[in-house]
Parts: sequence; structure tokens; C-alpha cells
Amino acid sequence: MNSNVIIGIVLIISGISVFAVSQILLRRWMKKYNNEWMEGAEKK
Amino acid sequence: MLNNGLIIDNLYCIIREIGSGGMGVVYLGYHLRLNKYIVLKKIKDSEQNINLLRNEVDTLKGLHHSYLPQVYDFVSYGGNVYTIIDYIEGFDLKYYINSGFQFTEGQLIKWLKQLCEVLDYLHSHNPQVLHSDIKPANIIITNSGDICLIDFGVSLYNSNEVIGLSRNYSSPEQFYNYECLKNGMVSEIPVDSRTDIYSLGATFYHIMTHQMPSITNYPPPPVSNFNTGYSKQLQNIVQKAMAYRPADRFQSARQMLKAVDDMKKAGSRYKGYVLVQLLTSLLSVILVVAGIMFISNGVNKDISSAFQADYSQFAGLVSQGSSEIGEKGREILNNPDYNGLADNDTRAEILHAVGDYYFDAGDYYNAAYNYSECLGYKKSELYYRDYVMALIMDHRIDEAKTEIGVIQSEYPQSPVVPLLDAETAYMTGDYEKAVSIIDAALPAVSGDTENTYTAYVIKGKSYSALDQSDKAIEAFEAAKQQKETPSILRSLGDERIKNASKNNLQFEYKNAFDCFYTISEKYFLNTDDVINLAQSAMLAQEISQYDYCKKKLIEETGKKEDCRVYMILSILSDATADNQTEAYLKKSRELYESLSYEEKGYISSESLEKTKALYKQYCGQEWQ
Repeated sequence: MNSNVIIGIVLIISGISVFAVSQILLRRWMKKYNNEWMEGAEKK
Repeated sequence: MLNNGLIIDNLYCIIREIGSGGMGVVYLGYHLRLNKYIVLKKIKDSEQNINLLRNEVDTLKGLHHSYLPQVYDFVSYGGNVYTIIDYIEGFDLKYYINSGFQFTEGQLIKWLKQLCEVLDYLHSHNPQVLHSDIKPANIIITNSGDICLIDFGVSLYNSNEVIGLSRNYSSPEQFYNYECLKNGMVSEIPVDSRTDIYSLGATFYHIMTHQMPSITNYPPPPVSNFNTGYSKQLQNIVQKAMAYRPADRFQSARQMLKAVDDMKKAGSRYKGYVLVQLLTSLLSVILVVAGIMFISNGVNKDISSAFQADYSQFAGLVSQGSSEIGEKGREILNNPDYNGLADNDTRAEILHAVGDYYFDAGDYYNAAYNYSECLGYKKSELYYRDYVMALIMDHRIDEAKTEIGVIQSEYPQSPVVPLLDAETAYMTGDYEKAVSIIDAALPAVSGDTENTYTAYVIKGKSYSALDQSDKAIEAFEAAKQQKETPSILRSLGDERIKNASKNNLQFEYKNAFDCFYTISEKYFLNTDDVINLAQSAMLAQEISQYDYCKKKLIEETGKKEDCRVYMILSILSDATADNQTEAYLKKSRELYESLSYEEKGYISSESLEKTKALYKQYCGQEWQ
């Protein structure tokens, strides 16, 4: 297995990981944002 | 008037009066079977058209929503008709407004969304249900903090009756219809679900500004005039809901709900969220795509490197004349990974080299097969020539003649045809004719290395068949001058041994040895080559070369157990007194005994006699 294949595998795993982690964090943020907004956090 | 404690229809117990609606008093009661509090509300002064009413109530009974009180039934009593509805505990919005409550935007948005949901439910029902009397007094805030929309006035679609008109919250078209009815005119403006939208907007206008809107004083001052502290988006939603013309309002409760949901998307934090979402998704896609490209590139690189290595190895085997040429060539051609790398020219080159190997080895059938496949990838004069040569050597003269016809038509000026004619003459035993054709063709092929080489080889073979060794050797030497190959060295070596033996020319054995020595050093020795090498060394009495020959013979025993090899090895071993003679002799005999009668016929009688004599000398017994 040459270095390009190894780099490719690492990149794919990284891409999937970045997506998964970002989705988890963004969902948590969105839930918090929704709650704050419903409590009038956006009220001017 | 219903008295406290009165039981109606054996089901409903009147507890007390709790308020009044458009048609009269509203009572709190108790459902004796369901064991829960209910509300009895008068909806008709008379029992006329009770069947029509039954249909209407049945429709209301079919409505089930968490923000609607459940309608259970209707009942007639004392000439009046009452509906039986869930009792909802809590205060209505009118109470809160009058008490001076100021709500947060979050609370308003929550209730607005719930009201939009329940209106969407009603308006989507079949038949469509319009509330027609949305106002703060008809919106209860339950103990759980959610809304409950009560008090359906005229609720069914296509009904233009206006009962209990709320001047402040009714839509312009509702108010217009009321005015028409009052004046005995027929109303022309249909009332649809957008009337509820207006009423909802007016209700929230009142909640936000603490000012009651009035249809007779339209348009009301904009919400923004009141410094309420509520967001521009919420103000705009309420203003739009209260548009005079239905076409200018939200066209459905669902549309209004979406507008409320979209409010949060106006916030900078939400925009930031969307941007981060986009960037992380883009980054993920880029990483994955880059990964796939790297892997693809890596795999291709590996395959390309493997192909280059295999091809180089094959080329090396070809230059050595190795016996592995056929196997290696097929391995490259049959490897599916190399499909994109080996083009037609390369495939033809490989097949031609494999064909050459089989031709030199005397396997003309396989030579012809490979040459034929070669032509499938690339047509050339040279490839055609070799294919026809192989056919001729394989005694497939008719096929050869057909292919000669093809060559004549494809390459009319080709000098190859006379060579093929000469080869055909040779194969049919007309050696002198073969020689004369070659002599006539030689001037035409001079300058063409391949064809000149072939011409001299045919000439040499023909002279050899005519037992004219001098001329055969001369022709083979001329071929060798054009191109040195293991095949021509073999032919030369064999012819020199033959010449030496026939004409008693000792120096020819030395010349023969030199030929096989060159094959040994530069190319690849087959079994016959090794035997000829050793025999020519012994016949030439090249004692200094005996150890070299033994080394080559011993290497050959590792590849193949050939009786002849052990016989020669025995003789050389005896000549060099290396104490291995007895072992070689025993092996020779063992292998000889395993040969068939026909195979034994190929063993040189001279070698056999010498070996038998040594066997008797070393092993002390006769070799029968």
C-alpha cells in the first residue's frame, strides 16, 4: 500500500469525522439557540 | 336559566354559571359518566333545524387537537340547545391584557405558533372549519402554559351568518357582510380561512400594543409606533396578518406559521450557524473527495509501477532467451489491472516475443498461435512473415498459402513473400530451390536486418539439409552478423559439431564450444545447450573448461532430471576425478531405466557406451 493510498484513507476518515462531530455540535447549539430564542433572547 | 344541581339527560350535572357567550349563559357542569368537568353553552334558541345542528355538532365532535377543547355532544333542554364541551382551566388572554400583563416575545411566538397550528388543522379539515371569532377572550392560557382556542362561533364553511360580531377583531369582509345583513342586503364577499388570519393578527396587535384595533378606524397605527420592544419581524407578521385585503395577508395559517419559524433565521447567530454548517459540510466533502483522489492515484501508481516492473522483467527474459518468456508474457497479458496500461502495440510486442520463444524452441503450433494473436492487435509485415513461417514449419501449408495471399495484397512490394516461398520449399524438401530463391531475394532485402537475417537462416538450414556444412556455417555466420540470437548460435554450434564430426576437424569442436559458451554467458541455456556445451568441451579437449561445464550441468540437474545430463556429468566427473562419479553413474542408470524404448533411442550411443564402461569400473557391476 503506497503512501498516497494511506493519505487517502486518512483524508476520508477525517472528512467523515469532521462531518459527524460538526453535526453533533451544531445540533446541540441549535437546540440551545431555539430555547434561548423562545425565551425571548432575540427580543430587542 | 339552569339551576345549580340540575341533571340533564341523566348525564350532565349543572354546577354553576361561569359566564356568557353570544347566545347567553355558559355553565360549568360535570359529566357523570366521564367524571370530568364540562361546559354547557347555549348555541340555539329553538329546536328548529335540529338535524342540521346535529350534523354541525358531529363535525365539531370529530375535531381532535391538543389546542382545542373536545366537543362531546349537544343537548336540548327547555327549548334551548346546548353544546357539551371540555372545561379548560385557566385564564383567557383578555384577563391578562386587562390585568396589564406584558408578555415576552418568546411567549408570544410560542402562542402564535400554537394558534397557527390549530388554525391550520381546522382549515385543512374536511369539511373546512372556520373559527370566525378569534379574540383574546377566546384564547385560554392553560396551567401548562399552552393555548386553548375556545368558543367556536359560526364555525362551518360557506356559512355567512355572523353571530356575536367582534368589531375589534373581525375581518373587514366579515364586518362588511354584517353590515349587509343589517341593511337587508345580500353580501357578495365570500368569507374564507383568511378571515381567521386577520382576527389572529388583530388579537396579537392588541396583546402587543394594549390598544384594541378597530375595523371602523382602519388602518390602525402600526405596531412600530408603540415602542413595544418586540422585534421587527414579529411586528411585520402581525401587520401582514391584518392587511385589509385578504389577498395581501398570509394565505394560510401554515404560511403564517412558516413566517414565524423563519423569524429565528433572521438572527445573526442563526446566520452564523448556517455558515458554519455550510463550511463544515464543504470541508468534509473536500476531504472525502481528496481522499478518494489520493487513493485512486495511489492505486494507479501501484498498478503502473507493477506493470513497469513486470514488463522490464519480461524484456530481460526475452533478451536472455529464458524459458519463462511464455509464462511471463501470458501473465502480463491476462492481468486485468493492466488493461488501461498495455496498449495494442505493447500487447502485440509481447505476443510476438512469446511467439519467437516458441518458434526457437521448435513448438511451431504455439508459435503460430501467438503470432496470430499478435496480428489481432497490430498488423505488420514482420508479424505476418513470422506467422506464416510458423504455419509452414508446423506443416500447415494451405493456411500459410492463404496468409501469403493476404501479405501480397496488403504489402504488394514486400520482400517477405520470396522468403516465405523459400521456407515452403525447404519444408517440402526442395532445398536447392530454397537456396536459389534466397539468393535471388537477398539483394531486395539488403539493408533490412530482420529479413536479411531470416534469409540467411533459411539458406543455412537448406545447406545443412544438403550436408554442405561449410556453406551452412557461412550462411549462419552471415545471419549472426545481422543479429546475434541464442537460436542462431545454437544453429552454428550444432553445425560446427556436425562439421567437426563429419570432416574430422578438431578446431570446429572449439568453435562449437565457443557458440554454446556465448549462449551460457549472455543468454539462457536449455538442456540441449548444456549437453552440447559439455560435449563440445570434451571433444575439443578444453580441459580448462571442464569445471565450468560441470557447474552448468549441476545447475541443470536442479531444474530437470535428464538422463543425458547425468551421463555427461559422470564422464566429466571421471575426467576431473572429483569423487562424485559413482553417484552420477547410479543416477544416470536410474533415470535411463525409467525411459521408454522410444526415449532411449534419443540417447547418444557413444555417451551410453562410455557411461556403461564407467559404471562397470566404479560400481563393480554390469549395466545391462
